[in-house]
Amino acid sequence: MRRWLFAPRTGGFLVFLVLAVALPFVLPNAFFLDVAILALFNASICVGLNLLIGYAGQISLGHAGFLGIGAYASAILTGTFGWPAPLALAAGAAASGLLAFAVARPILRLRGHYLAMATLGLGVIVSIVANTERELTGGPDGMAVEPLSFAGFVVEGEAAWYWLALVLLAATVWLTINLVDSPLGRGLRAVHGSEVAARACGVDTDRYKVIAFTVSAVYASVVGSLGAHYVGFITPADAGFMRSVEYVTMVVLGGMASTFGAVVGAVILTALPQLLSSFQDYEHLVFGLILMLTMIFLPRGVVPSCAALFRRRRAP
Amino acid sequence: MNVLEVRGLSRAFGGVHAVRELSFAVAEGTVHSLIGPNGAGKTTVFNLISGIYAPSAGQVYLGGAEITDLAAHRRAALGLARTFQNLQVFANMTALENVLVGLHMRLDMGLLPQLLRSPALRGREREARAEARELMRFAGVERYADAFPASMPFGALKRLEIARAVASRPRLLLLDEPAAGLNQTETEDIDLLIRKIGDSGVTVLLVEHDMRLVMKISDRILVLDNGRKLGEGTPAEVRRDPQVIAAYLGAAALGPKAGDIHAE
Repeated sequence: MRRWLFAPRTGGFLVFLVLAVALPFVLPNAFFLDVAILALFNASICVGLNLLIGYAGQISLGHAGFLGIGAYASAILTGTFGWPAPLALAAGAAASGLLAFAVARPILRLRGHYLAMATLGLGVIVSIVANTERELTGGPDGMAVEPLSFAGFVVEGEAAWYWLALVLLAATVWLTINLVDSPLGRGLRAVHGSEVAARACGVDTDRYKVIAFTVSAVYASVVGSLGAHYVGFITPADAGFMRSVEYVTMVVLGGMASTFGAVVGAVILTALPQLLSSFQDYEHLVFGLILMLTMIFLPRGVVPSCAALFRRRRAP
Repeated sequence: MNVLEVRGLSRAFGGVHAVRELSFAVAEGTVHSLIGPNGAGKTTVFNLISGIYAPSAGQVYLGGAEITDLAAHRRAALGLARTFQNLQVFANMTALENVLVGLHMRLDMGLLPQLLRSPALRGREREARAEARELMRFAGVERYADAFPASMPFGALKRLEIARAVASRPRLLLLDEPAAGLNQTETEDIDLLIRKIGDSGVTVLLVEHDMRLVMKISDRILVLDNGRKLGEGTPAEVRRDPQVIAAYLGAAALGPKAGDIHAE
């Protein structure tokens, strides 16, 4: 029973669902609900990104680029070409997935700084295209995005968006927890633990890195599409380098190789700037500071560190 | 029948010839040892056989099929497993999960059933966990099943790596200095474990510095020096080979003259 309660797939998931379902009923107004929706979206991205960073041990400083591809695909295909929203979302996800798959093999051969630089470049290219293709994207001014509608049904109002974002995150978390505990997930973690030993055990490490990169890119793209519909407006900055760094910071703060850690990190770092809006000009400074302090004092991240503390308390 | 055959294998790193035109074969069901002074090229030979390095020249055959150009994970799929001189356990996973990675090739399936945790996957995972526990018992580390490597003693990590390697049911197991850094009792335990592995039908190729261990458990010994084959034979033959004695086993055995050669 206790085992069941403390396992992430059962107890942890239950706690997460209860908290998330209760949240809209205790939030005082629509502003907080809006922050909560953005936090859920960011959490979905971070859970996917954590597969790559936390579990497979590969860095990406370009994931906002995939978010941008999803967002612009939805904006352009629904707005300019009149596609149905789900089809535009799927097209964006397919484009992101294909791009990620195509560049993953050469990029993920690189290690450390080189990998960071290559992924950074990938993200920068996407935001440059968004900046310069004025006729399609509206250039630096950005473009308006139509509301999310499907078969005559329009997703409107914060409450509806909250439940949609929650369903997306719950599905993402569920699938990710399953994956991490599967042979494939162990293969990914083995890549992180010792790549040479993983290969000696028969793990096709290149293929696994490609899978992690592609899956996380598709996650980011889907969230980008939905987020664009929700906010109703996108700019190239949404696909920019600083956004990529924010996602990495969320993963590192919450806890690498912890799915709920990624959720917690995303929630904290989405809510913090909104609640401290007087510091707006220093937002990136604060992010940098948080990243540094996390690396120094909580290198494993908030959730794994707390879990370790909890286990120690319980042990004797 | 030969499980492993190496023909004219060479590997140079820049101007350094780590392995030079090495040829040898390992017969099925034997324990074959590779010995030689530090820097003789033993670990390089392992890395060439297991596909970590590509050879500059020569071929490697596993069970008669050429594997010279295969990626490391494909060689593993053909029945090759190994351990590492400098431990390569997965520090981010429990000991049991480490062994489960060893079972990986028999468990891997499509992405979808793993995302959805299908009933078929669940059944196979249950069996795999039971088998991994059995393997840990075989290697004498079952009590560390849920421990992370950071909290395990060095000797247990060595045996954990062996359990992980045996998990894939290899035809040929490469053990790179399994007794290095172990005390006398631990070395005797490793000796027993290697014998058990050999008795279970796995062919073993061993790199080891502990001569007592090598002489005791090897069917054949290959002596390397400067990347070349210096001698080969049964433990008794190798022990008598004057060249081997001069280069490695102890020059003193040959008198002062050979001692001068050794000092060079």
